[in-house]
Amino acid sequence: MATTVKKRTTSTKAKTKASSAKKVTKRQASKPVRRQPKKSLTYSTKAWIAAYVVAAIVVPQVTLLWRPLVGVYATVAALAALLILALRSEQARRLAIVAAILPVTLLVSLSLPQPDAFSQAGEFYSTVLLLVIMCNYTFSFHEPLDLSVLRKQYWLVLPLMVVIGEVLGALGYGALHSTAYIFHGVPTYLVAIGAVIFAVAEELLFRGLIQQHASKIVHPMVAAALAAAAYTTVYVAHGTILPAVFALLSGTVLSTIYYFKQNLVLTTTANAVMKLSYLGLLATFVLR
Amino acid sequence: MFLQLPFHAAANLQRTVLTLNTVILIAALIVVELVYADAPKEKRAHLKHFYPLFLVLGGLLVYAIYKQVRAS
Repeated sequence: MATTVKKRTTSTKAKTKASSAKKVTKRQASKPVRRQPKKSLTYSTKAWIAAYVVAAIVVPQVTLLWRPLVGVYATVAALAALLILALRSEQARRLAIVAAILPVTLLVSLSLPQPDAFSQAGEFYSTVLLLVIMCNYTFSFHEPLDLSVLRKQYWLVLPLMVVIGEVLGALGYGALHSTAYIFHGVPTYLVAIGAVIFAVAEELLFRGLIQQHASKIVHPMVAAALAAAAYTTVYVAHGTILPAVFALLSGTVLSTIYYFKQNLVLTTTANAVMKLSYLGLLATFVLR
Repeated sequence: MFLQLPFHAAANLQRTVLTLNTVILIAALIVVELVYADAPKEKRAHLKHFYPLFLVLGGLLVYAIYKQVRAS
C-alpha cells in the first residue's frame, strides 16, 4: 500500500515536473532570451554605485537650494555623470537612466516659465510622468514587467493602506500646518486632483523605477533606503527642515511597503490618501 | 507635503539651462558618433534606453530655438 502511494506520488511529481518544464519551454519560446550580465559585481562596487547615484540625486538639489546658478551647473554635471555610468556599466545602466530622470526634470522646470507654485509642481510632475512612462516602455520592450507578489488578500491590504495614509496625513498636518501653504489662490478641488496625480508620478518614479532597479543591484533594503533618500531630497526647501524630515518619514514608510509587497497600487493609495488627508485637514482648520 | 522646488526660474537661469542643455546634447551626439558609429548592431542595442531622456532634452533644444527666433 505504502509503495503504491509512494509510486503515485512519484508519478504525480514527475507529471508536475514535466508540465512545468513544458510551461518553461513555452514561456521561453514566447519570450526572447534575456541576456545575463557578464560578471557579477563585488560588494564594494555595488556600494560605490549606490553612493554615486545618491550623490548624483542629492548634490544638485542641495546646490540649487544654496545657490541656484551653481545648482544649474551641478544638475548638468550630475546628468552627465549618470549618463557616463549608464554607458560604462551594464549592470548599473537601468538604475543610472531612471535616476537621471530627476536632473532632466529639474532642467525642464528651470527652463520653462512658472507663474506660481502650482504650475511649477504641475510642470515637474508632468515631466516625471512623461519620462517614467517612456522609460517603462523602453525597458519592458523585450521583457514583460514582473508581476506583483500580491495575489490574495488584496482587499484586506488596501484599506490598511488607506489607514496608513490617513495617519501619515494627520502626522504631516501636525508637523507642517504652521509652514506656509504654497498653493494659495488655487481652488482646493484642483489641488486635490493635482495631489492624486502627484502621488501617482512620485510612486511610479521612486518606488516603481528607482527602488525596483536599485534592488537588482544592491540588497532590497538598501534599495528602499536609496529610494527614500531620493524622495526626501525632492522635498528639501527653503526656510524650514520640517518638509524634508516628514518626507524622510513618509518615504521610509512607502519604501518599506513596496519592499514587502512590490505593488504600486498600494503605495500610490497610501501616498494619495496621505496628501488628501493633509489637504482636508488644512482646508478645514487653516484655510477657512 | 507638496513639492516646492528650491528656485525660481529667473530669465538668466533659463538662459543658462538652455545653453547647457544644448552643450550636453552635442556632447552626447559626439560620444555616440565616436564610440558607436562602427559598432555592430547588437552592441548598439542598449542605446534605445537613452531615447526618453534625449527626447525631452531635444524638446528643450526646440524650445530654446523657438525662444531665440521669437526674441529676434
